[in-house]
Amino acid sequence: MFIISRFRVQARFSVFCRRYSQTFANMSSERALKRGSACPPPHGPGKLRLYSMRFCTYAQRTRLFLAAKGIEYETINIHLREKPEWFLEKTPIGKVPVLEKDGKIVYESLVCNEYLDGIYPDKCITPRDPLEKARQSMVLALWDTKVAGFYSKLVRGTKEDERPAVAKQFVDGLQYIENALTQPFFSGDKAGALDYNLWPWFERFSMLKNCAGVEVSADKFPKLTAWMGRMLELPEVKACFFSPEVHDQYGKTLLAGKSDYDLGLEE
Amino acid sequence: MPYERAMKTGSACPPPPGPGKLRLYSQRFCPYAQRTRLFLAAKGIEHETINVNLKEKPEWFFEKTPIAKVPVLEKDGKIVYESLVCNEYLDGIYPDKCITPSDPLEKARQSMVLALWDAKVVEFYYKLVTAKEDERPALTKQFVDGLQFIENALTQPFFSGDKAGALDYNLWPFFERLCVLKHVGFELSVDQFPKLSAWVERMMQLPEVKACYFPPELHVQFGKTMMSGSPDYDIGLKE
Repeated sequence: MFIISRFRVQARFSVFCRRYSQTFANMSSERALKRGSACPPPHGPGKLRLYSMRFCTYAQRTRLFLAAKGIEYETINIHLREKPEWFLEKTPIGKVPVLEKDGKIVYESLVCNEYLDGIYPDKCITPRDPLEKARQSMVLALWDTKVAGFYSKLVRGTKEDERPAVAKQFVDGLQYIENALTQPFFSGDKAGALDYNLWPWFERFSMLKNCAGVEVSADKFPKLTAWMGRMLELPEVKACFFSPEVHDQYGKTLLAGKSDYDLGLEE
Repeated sequence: MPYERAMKTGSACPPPPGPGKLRLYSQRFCPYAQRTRLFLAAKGIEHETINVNLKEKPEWFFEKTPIAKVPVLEKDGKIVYESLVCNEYLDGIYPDKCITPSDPLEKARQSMVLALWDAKVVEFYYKLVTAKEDERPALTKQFVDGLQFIENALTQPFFSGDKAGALDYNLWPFFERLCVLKHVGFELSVDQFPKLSAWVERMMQLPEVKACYFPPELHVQFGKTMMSGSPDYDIGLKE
């Protein structure tokens, strides 16, 4: 009797795990490697490796490019608070994403993305026209200057009395991005580099609501809201997607100063 | 090149440049604007310059670029800002004498050295200029440690290879201004930085570098006005 009921419990547990892992999207990611871990042996010749962190917005830019371009690669996640020594050898800046292929290292998300288009020229996402390329870079510079810093402050925890001012700066900055969206996607009729390079923050807007009470409303941001709806339909976005609930859960660990990089991974 | 006095708040917006003509919004002492001036000189591109007072920015300048920094390029109603974006854009619209590398790995390598510069050096550079005496040792160490990454990245006569290229021009303006750190006790020593020291000598021979060059005395003079809180963007211009 005891053995039968144990199998039943195990069966239920497997179903639970499958459903639980589906909530955490289809990432074949490993636990984040930390200080003291052994340096992973290089990936085979011609094979691409991405050093990442499952919840990092910048790394998601590169994961989106990889998904959009249909490139095969393996992922090694890095513990960003206790970085492995070997990781700092690969990149003195010590951030993700980092690409590694045949002994060559490339870091910085936008540099990684353009590099991917360079070495996998099919399905080129980076614009070729010089003015369009400049325009996309300038929107990202606007994002960095006018929005990203305030976003960061809001999700990493701002004192309650400072929050309204930071929230206003965020919303004012976001208006520039709203104004830059003049077609269905930032890149035109279809999603392109600028769409993927901006998306990760928009996927996390529920965190702003739950961590800082800041809402990005459809009234104030009609174009961005419609764009978000379109982006959520794209297979490459779905492939890298985490639900609002998961982002909020991670956000709470971030606010507590103890980011749980392995949130959602099965024990 | 005939520089004009820096235009400030309250000034009238200059009429657009003629069709097909290139205009650069700049500031005579800005290292970021100098990146673009170096590209323009290296590529031999004709252009006009309008200097902007960065402490009292003209209202019309914000209309052109919400970030309101220099350099800014304007041509046939199109605006491009951010120094590295401007530089790559110049190679795109004037493809002769292309400076930006076309090889994806080389392009990535040059971008990564600039990222290293931003992450490891530039912050301490600026902090060191205004550092109090007791702050100097720690900041100098951070600056010197950071500069070592740049020294290590220099494996050929120029950062770009046998000849100067994008990365050389994008780094140069800061090296032209190292004299500004002399008053806090930093000098680029040939013992500590043999490769960078030799590169500095090579760069100083290039016509495009000479065309955009200000001597150490002038950089130091401008630096003093910056630190006093009243930057004099028109130093050296005839009355």
